[in-house]
Order: sequence, then structure tokens, then C-alpha cells
Amino acid sequence: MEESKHYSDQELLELLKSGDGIDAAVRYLYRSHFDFLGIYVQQHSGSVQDAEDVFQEVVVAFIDLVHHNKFRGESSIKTFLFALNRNIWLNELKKRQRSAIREMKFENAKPVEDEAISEYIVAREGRQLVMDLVNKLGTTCQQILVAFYYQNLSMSEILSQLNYENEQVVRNKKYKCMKKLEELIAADPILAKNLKTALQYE
Amino acid sequence: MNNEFYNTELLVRYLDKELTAEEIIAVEQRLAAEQGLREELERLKLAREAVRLYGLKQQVGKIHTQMRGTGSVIPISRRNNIQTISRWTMRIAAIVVLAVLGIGVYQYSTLSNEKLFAEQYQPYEIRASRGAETESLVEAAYKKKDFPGVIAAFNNSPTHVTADYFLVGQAYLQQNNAKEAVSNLELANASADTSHLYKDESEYYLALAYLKDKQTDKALRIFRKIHSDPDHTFRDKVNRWFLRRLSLTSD
Repeated sequence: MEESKHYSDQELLELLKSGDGIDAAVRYLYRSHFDFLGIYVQQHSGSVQDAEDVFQEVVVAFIDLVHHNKFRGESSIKTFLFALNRNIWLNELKKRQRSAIREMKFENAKPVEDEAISEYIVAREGRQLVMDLVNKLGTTCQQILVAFYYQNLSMSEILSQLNYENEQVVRNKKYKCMKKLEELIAADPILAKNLKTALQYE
Repeated sequence: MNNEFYNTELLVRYLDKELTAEEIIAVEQRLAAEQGLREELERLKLAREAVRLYGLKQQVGKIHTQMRGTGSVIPISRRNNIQTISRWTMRIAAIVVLAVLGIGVYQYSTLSNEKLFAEQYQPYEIRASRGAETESLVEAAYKKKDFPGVIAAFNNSPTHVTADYFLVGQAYLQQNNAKEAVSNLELANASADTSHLYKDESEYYLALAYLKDKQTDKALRIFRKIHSDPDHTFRDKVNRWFLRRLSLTSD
């Protein structure tokens, strides 16, 4: 049933904002927009893998913008995703500096037409450091922090997933993990600055 | 528990909204006064946002992998290639099938004894080497392509040899009289022995006369015999394709 369901833009936004609806919304985004956006990347010097990577980034960025109320709905989701996809890909091409021709293509590209996309592109490099940063934590820390801060699970729910004595032990572990992450950020002022640019949506 | 960790725990609880109203006031007073604490709080906020973004990336990545696994997300160019290949393959296959069917239908619908006869028939011509001194009136008229004359000469002659039957049979074929052609060529064929000059010719033209007279089964039997005989004079003219089409017209 879900596979064939069509969502209006409004329904999709509500689904994305509800914690439980993200899976269905992401699947819908793939079904509805992957081809269209992927073709753009492939028609502009991108490989199949590039198309997939960029689309994945587009989906993550879009959901993140929705969560931070940065998507104002001035254009349709499809138009917004297309602009996001195009700007991410052109930014990526520029970063790669593959050839003067592609550089020219970038220079001639249309300007970013949405403030949220513009902000995202500026912060893009910093956001890519996030994965590296969290990957420096151990698996347990990742599990606890993601479960608590992303999945919004309670301590008792997290305890049921992990092998700890009680909730207080999990809680203490969470503090330690946060401290470790905070220390990694503190140890690298440039990283801290980039992250601040990339993650400051509040 | 050292002071540094206590501060982190306090700030994390502050961020997670786990403090009481009194504790919040106390923390905010400290934040107002301590720059180091404010900076740590900022870094903890960044850490929390980093974890959220990490979680979102993980979730999307997991769905992407699942959808690829189920074939829901196939790389576009590969899918396009597959689709293009299969589309063209299907098109070519369809064209070939339609062409074959079309040819088959056309061949079948236009297939007739008359058509097969017209394809196969070439008027018999007497070769000059055949002895002029024994030339009959029938043969003389045939050489002049005077086919009514051939028939008249044959009818006026009290006796007939194999060659007469053969030639008058040819004349009747030229005159589109299939019945008479068949009866005379049957006689020519029956009287022809292995040494007979017109042996292969009698057989071949009798089959053609049967074909023209719509006695397809009889024609088919003789044509098959000719085809199976590698030494037959007309073997090359009677190929498999002709036999197959001829068999389609028989009952």
C-alpha cells in the first residue's frame, strides 16, 4: 500500500516532521524524485554513484531543513529538491576541480535561488565533517547518542536494547559520550567553527 | 566525580530539559557569569546536532540500501541502459516476428497453383541438335512456335511417337488447356523409357501440367521425386522452398 501512496507536499512535510513517518517519507522521496534528480547529475558529468550520493545528501539536507523550519514552502518540494540537487552537484564539481571546462560550467551556473539552499551550500563542507566526528566515537556511544537524540528513545527503551545494569548506568554513559564528543570539538577550533556554521539552525 | 564531569552532566541535563526550575535558574546564572561554561554548552549543542544529523544520515542511508536491495532504486543510467537494450531488443524482435509473420501471411495469402506455375514454367524449346532429317510436322510447327499448328498436325497424324505427345502437351500448355496438356504429357511420360530423349522433360512438364490443372497432389508427388533425384535434369529448379509452398496449396 505504502509503495503506491501519493503524498501532497503538505502531507509529506507533516510526515517528515513526525518522528515515525520519516521512513515512509524517505521511501516516497526516492520513488518520486530519484530518477528526475539523478538524471540531472548524470547529464552533468556525474556517474551513477554520484547521482546516488548526491540524492542521498539532498534527502538528508531537505529533512534537516524541514526539521529546522528552514523550508518555507515558497516553491514546491519538487522544485526545491531540484534546486538543492543542482547546487549540491555543482558545488561538488567545483570542489573536485576536475577540469577548466567544468569550472566554467560552474561559473555559468544559475545562482542559488533559495536562501536555505544558499546557507546549506555554505555549510556543506562542515556538515561532511560531522560523520567523521561521530565516527570517532565508539559504537556504543554512537548507539546511545543516536537512540536518545535522534530516535528520541527513553532511557528504559535504550536500556532494553543495550546490555547495561540499569538506566543510571546508561545515563552516565551518555554523559561520558557527550563529553567525549565535546572534547573532540574543543580540540580543533577550525572544526568547531565549521560545525558551528554547518549545524547552527537554532 | 570531578568538577569538569559534573559541569558536563549538568549542561547535558540542561540541554535535555531534565533539570528542575530551580536548577535551571542556577545553571543560567552560572552561564551568565562563566564564559568557559557558555563555550562548553555551545560545543555540547554542536555535539547534539552532530548526533542528530548523523542519525538522519544513517536512517536515509539504510533506506537507500534497502531500496537498492529490493530493486526499487536502480541506478538510472544502468536502468536506462537495461531499458534501452531491452526496449530495442523487443523492438527488433517484434519487427522480425512481424516481418516473418507478414511474409508468411503474404506468401500464404497470395499462394496459388497459378502463381507457382508461373514461377516455374518456362516454355520448352527444341534444341537444334535434335535430328532434322526425322523431324515430324508436329516438331516443325513447334520450332516455329506455331502452337495451334502443333495441335493440328498432331490431330492430323494417324500415328504418334513419344515426342509428339510431349510436344502437343507443351502446345496445350501454351494454349492454357491444362486438361489436354495433362493427358498428352501423361502419355509421353508413360511411354518414355530410360533412353527416351524426353524422359526428364516429360516428367517435369507433366508435373507442371498437373499444377496448372490444380491436381496439386499429383504435381507434388512428381516434384518431390525430381527433388530427390540428384541426376534429374530439373532437380535444381525444384528446391525445398518451392516444395514447401506447393505443399501448402495441397489439401
